[in-house]
Amino acid sequence: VAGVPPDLPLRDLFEPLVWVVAGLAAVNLALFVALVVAREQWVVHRRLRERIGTRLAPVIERLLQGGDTQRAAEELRPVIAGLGPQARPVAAWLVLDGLREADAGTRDVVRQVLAESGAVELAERATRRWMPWRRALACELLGTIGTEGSVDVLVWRLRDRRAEVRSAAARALGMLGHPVAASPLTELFLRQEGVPTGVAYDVLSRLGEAGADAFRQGLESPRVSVRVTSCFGIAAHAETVARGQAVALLEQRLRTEEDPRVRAGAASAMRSLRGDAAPGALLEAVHDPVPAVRRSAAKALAAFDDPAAVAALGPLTSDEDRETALRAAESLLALSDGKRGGEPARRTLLGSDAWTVESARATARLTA
Amino acid sequence: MTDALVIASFVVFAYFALFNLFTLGLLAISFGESTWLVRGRQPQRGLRPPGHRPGISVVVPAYNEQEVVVATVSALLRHDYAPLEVVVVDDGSTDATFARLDHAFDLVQLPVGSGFPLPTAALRSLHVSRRGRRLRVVRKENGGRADALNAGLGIARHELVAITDADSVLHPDALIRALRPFEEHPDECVAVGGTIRVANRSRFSRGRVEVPRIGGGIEAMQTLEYVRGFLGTRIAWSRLNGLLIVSGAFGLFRREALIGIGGFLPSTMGEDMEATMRLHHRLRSRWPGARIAYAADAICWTQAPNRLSALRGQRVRWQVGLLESVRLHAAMLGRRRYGASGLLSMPYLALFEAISPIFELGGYAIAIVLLIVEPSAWPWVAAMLLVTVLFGQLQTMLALLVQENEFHGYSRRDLTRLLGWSLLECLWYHPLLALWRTSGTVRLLIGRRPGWGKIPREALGDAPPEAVTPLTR
Repeated sequence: VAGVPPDLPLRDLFEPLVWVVAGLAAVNLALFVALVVAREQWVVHRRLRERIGTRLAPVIERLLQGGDTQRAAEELRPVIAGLGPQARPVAAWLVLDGLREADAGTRDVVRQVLAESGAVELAERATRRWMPWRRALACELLGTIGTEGSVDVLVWRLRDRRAEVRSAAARALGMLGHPVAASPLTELFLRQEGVPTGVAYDVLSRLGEAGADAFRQGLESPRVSVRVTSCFGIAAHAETVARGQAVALLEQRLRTEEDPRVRAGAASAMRSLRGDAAPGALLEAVHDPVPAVRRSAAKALAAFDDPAAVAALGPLTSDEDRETALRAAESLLALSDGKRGGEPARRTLLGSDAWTVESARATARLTA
Repeated sequence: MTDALVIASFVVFAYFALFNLFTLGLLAISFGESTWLVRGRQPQRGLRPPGHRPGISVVVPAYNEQEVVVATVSALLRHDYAPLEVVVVDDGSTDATFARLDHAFDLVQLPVGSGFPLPTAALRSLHVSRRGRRLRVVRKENGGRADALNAGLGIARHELVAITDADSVLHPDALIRALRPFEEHPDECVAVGGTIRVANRSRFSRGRVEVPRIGGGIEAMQTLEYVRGFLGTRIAWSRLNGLLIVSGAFGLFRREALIGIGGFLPSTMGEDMEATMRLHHRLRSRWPGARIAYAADAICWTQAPNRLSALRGQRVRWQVGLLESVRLHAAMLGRRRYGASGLLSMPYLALFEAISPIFELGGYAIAIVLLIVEPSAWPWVAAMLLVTVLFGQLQTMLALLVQENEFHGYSRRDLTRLLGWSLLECLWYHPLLALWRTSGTVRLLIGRRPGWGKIPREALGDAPPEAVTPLTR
């Protein structure tokens, strides 16, 4: 302050400014130290992973080769027991990651060994850690190595205060595939709270009939996104069972829905419900005034080996919407190999002078 | 006079203190977000089977890119995401860009067709590769990058469109990582921006960066700028849903949403920023849930200018683009209906990013004159400069910490080098940038920017959400 001329305006601000300089310099120094620590921590962690990986590699190789799985899994016990408590969940993760290609039986045997080694218990405890990313990582780990007992821990985490932890817990529940998770997840999905719609969709799709029930309820939701997602969910579920019911539900949605996004979603979803009779509502959807719905219908009709689908697609190859026209031509081409729709599709293609048909045929020739 | 100079210097100082505090707030949010991002998560784990995920068309505009185009396209075709297509738009190149593509990928002509959703310069021909339908090449009259992107949007067939440059390289899992926000929020997510990193001295192998390295001088400075600009603030803007720029070097958009708002604007220099702002501007009122996200771990490597003259040209263009975009979308300023983009990010861009170079140059001039007129005021000038420099350094440190949390990409030696260069930044790099950006502002104001004043406002589309097909799931 002494160096500043006494008559300089704002002279009183000089002293606080000096303190600000000192403060900023101190914070900079602290951040520099934090940067160095973060860097070194990462190096240590990387080395730990490498060390554990090296010790586990021969056992994983034996497990992948098949043979006496139980005996090979038993070899894991001393390796895991020899690791510290912090390293055990990392090892468990590495083991199951290495066994991604192994059959379900082998993975179950290994999972049992890992649970007995205490790795699962440690991961379950880690879901209560203070740092949110540690909680999320623990949830994700439980999705891979968890047992039936982990389901309650993960369901509890669906109420975590951080969105990413809730998503990780939901995904883990989906990986474990236990039906107990369906009820809380359905509630979150229908209210569009807590877990992003896409994550809820992924998880509920893995829960079989319990998940399908959530999508059935979702079709009546006042929320557009839930209705659209439910259309896809119903169709995904119907790839294995209850196809007839799914077709009926989606047809009803296509005919009665006011929001074109839901109609387009229902039409797109029908693509998964392959068959030899195109649903009536899908055939009608090619006349929808909204191009997005026509586009979806044009693409979905390729999944139905039906002369009625061919008849609906023919005029669409000259649709004013370029994308609809192109998709219709591609769908016709796809149908031209079918048993029922093949002959009329080939005839329609031959008689067409639409550029979209020419383009689709030229592209198909290249693939052939 | 001394009094006036001291007060003026304090005004400039207060302006920068406010700017720095705001930016530090953003950095703090970004840091908080990055510390608990799930580390080391492999995105492939959560990926849906091919029939249940959206297709991606990568649009690559190319103008006289004969040296790099084949390598870039080959690298893109190596991505194992499906369904994927690569659409190269040869924007009237006068070199052998098309000939090299033809030679490398054995192209066959297809009918161009009609009914394109966006007006562009005339399309000459459309080609598909005989070696696989995943590559299509369209030749057109020269119309500029935005025009080429619009042509690509018309040719692209998938629901999502990734835009990139012919001289940029996408990390092998960049598309998958950028896809994550779309998978999580399929009915809300409209666009996702990726992280652009400087690749100048890095070692490449088979179209990917094997060992990231840092050069010196302007390369190091740009590396710092990119780290601060992307990891430092965009994570925060994304969290607040106020991200106003999805970089043209790598961004993933919903094709129909982009077409619905009229595509990219050829008459602006910052077409990527302008299009992102327009998405906010046009969509938010009718699609309140619409969000533009940032995927910090979706990486695109790019060649930054390594000569001062090239850097100068780039920064003048960026400044002009920024000012044009702010001017076009000034109606968003301070409006609640646009959420954080209207209340926070637009004011931040307009008050700080757009005019800070003028304040910075003014500050230097005032300090110099003050020291000449009143040499005894040097402690005052020194203290203010020191505060500004330390604030800047704080931002750099926080941004590097975010990077350490996320990537750990650089070696110890390179990180030390980067820190060393950051200490010198305020001595030469900042004043240079301020000078160039101010010259860009002046050129715009005196009408030396071609096309200024002819921006076709009426061409801006209004994409209703119902016009957009739901994403496959």
